[in-house]
Amino acid sequence: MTERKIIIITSDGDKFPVERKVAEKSILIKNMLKNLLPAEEEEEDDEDEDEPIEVPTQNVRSAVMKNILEWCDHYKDYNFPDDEQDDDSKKSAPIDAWDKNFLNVDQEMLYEIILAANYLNIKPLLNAGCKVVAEMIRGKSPEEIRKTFNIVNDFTPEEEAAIRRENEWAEDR
Amino acid sequence: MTSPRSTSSNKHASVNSIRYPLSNISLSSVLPFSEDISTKPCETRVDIGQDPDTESRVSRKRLNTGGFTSGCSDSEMTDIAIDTNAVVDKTGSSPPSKKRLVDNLPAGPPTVTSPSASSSSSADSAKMATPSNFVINTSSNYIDELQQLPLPSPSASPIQSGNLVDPQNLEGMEYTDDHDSRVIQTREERAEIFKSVNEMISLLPVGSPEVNYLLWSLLQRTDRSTLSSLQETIRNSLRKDLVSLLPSEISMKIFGYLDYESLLRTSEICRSWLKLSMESYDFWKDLLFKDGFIATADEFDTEYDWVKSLNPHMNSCQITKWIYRRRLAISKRWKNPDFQPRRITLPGQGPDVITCLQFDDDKIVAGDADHSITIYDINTGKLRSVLSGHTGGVWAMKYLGNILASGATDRTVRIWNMKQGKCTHVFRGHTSTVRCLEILEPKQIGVDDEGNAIMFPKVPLVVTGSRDSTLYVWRLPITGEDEELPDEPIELDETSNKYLVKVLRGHTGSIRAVSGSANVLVSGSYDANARVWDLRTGECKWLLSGHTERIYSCVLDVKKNRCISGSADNTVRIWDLNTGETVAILEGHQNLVGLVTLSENALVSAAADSTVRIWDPNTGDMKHVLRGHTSAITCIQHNDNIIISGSNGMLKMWDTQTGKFIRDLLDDVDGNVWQVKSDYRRCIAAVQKDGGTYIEILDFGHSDADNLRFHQNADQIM
Repeated sequence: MTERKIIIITSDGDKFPVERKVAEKSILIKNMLKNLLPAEEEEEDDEDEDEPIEVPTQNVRSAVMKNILEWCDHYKDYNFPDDEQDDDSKKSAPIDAWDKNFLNVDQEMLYEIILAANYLNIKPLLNAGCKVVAEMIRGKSPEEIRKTFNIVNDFTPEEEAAIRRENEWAEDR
Repeated sequence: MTSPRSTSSNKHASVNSIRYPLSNISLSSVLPFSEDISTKPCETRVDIGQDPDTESRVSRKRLNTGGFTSGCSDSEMTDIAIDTNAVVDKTGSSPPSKKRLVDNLPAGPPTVTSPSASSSSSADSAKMATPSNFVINTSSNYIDELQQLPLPSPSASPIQSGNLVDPQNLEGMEYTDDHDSRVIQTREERAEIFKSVNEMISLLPVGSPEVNYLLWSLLQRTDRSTLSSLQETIRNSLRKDLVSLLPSEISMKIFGYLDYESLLRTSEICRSWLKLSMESYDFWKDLLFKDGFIATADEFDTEYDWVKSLNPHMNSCQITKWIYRRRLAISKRWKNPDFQPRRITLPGQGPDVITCLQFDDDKIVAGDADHSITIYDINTGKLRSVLSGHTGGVWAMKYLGNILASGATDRTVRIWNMKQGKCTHVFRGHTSTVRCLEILEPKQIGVDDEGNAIMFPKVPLVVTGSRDSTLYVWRLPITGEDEELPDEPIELDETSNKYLVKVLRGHTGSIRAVSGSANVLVSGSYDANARVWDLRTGECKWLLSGHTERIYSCVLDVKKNRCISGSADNTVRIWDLNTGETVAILEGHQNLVGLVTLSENALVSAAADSTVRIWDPNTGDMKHVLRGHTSAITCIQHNDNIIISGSNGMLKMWDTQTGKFIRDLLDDVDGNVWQVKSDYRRCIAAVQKDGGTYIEILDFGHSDADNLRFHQNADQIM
């Protein structure tokens, strides 16, 4: 029995034919397919078996989906550990080098990839995206952070000084 | 800070500026990223709202690389076209004029790829100007003329579904064909066209296919160096406050990946970040565990309640942050050789060897070779009670809550109610000295078919190891703190003892060390073997055979399901409890390895060769050799941060990560250091000096309760 084709349709109408195991990196899609194709093996060979399954993803535009699917394809044969059992060690684990390179995109795209990973329920990608953003914060001065994210300092000088004072302990010996 | 290129191009602007004005101006205005804009004082202000000092400087420089200052008004533009030298003059003298031109140009979306999907997000960005921010200059003289210009019809646009125009599609479009032959040559004409196009663009909706199309046309007519600047500028213009814009649960996840210093920084950025940083106490709680400041949930809860009681108005986030702050400060004090901990010296009960030591926030309990166990108040140092009853030296002792179990050379195991200072039970059975013991608390070891936790043991157990080569497993008799107890303990021999669970036989030599958790117990013996027992059945699961001399020490690594043993054959072995095989033989010590201890990231061994060694617990690779002691190491205690080791006349502290010597903790000991134990805050050592035995308390955290003052400022701001 040949596998049925999956076609992912983006918010702007583009269609991406993908392997099932690629699509199933998204738990959202995986669950969707599970409902669509109950007990696949037992089913009598229907005529419409060749019909591809179309999966609409309303919140993801084509350019973002293209990236997401590249990520899914890269990891299609990799089984991520079930869930965050060993939370502590996972949290301190550095970003995978491939992921880091993959996520070296402009902030608009990074933002959309994180949102899409969240929506599509692709935890490892979401985690990697969050780690990339954390890296953009880590070790920087407040001014550098504001610059990185185009943030306006909306504290009064007094407020800012007060918060700094609160945080001074970090610099204590 | 100007690049060589921009200065030189200013000097020779006459040539370059003729070529570049159109591309520069068009690009910086179609895409509203030009940082210079916001920095100039002007009545019609583009709402770009970004910091004036930082990025603007960079991008201004970039824009200049085209050999042209991007700012000039409509009229000035005309001037430029006619007299390029004017541009050079304007460069330094009239920066404010930059503003007006840009005001007249529409702001496009930050993305050229897809207006449909990005429109909402681009609107979020503080720096992106929206069309309403612009004053369209309708007073233009060219407005009529403008309307007569041929405008590509939207239907002719090749742009579909918001995608970037494929350059291929432009081929064949009539108004892009043969452009070389139609390029307008005179400056006047160019200025006219520029004005017209400029006006036209301002009439088109932001992000419309027409704008995207025009943008593409302009890009095609842009030289490479401008494109290069543009690329960088676009990237910068797409910077946005990801943290505030993402759903808060994702932002919290991001913060969860930060170290404490960066996490603190987040509160200094802006109000929305401050709010997020104060949203969850998990950040600080997680960090406390991740950074090794707190090991157990109980320890956290105890400290949490303590801080809360000292400062009831604090919220949970403030409390955990304060705990972190305190733990960090204490850990820094440990590593600071100049810090003097508060020291209390307690006279011991004679000249005897202290054989075992345990303490908590309330008390210190010490067993000695002269039959007794002494309890001191840890805060005042006062003697609380002496537990008497053993008729031989006490060599093994541990307590759980209020119940203490001890073993002695009198071959008995005694159970004590510490609060009342009374012995409640005497267990007989061993036929020789009880040399080591372990208490096992109930722990979850799995789940049953219905998903309920399976706990083992059901009640706390005490396991005793003896010179008679056997291990006895007993249920720990628990009596209440205020329960009425008989004056005399209940004496139970082996046949009548309902607390006796199992006798573990197999070793052929004295049992010297025992370590366990839940149902797994490891014993190390003078028969040179270690054995692994399953306490559910009492069977010996593995005989760990390999050492060639007596085993003096063993420790169970629950997380990796391994155990580590130290032997008189000068080696340490790591064993895999899944297979019973040796994982690694750790060689290096020159004499008996009497002590092995384990923390999350370090395995430490101490030997009679007067060295302490640090090993990688995963591979068994030796990381550091700690030299400084001049006699056999008698006691050791460590965590991932520090190692404390004692030998005759010395109590030394080392850095676990680097292996470096930090300080001598005591400088007036002239005899042995029998025992050392420590927690995050205190080091307790049993030492011999001036012919007597003393217990030393070194406290690195005693004054912290006085310093409880935090967060009021941050609170007010919120």
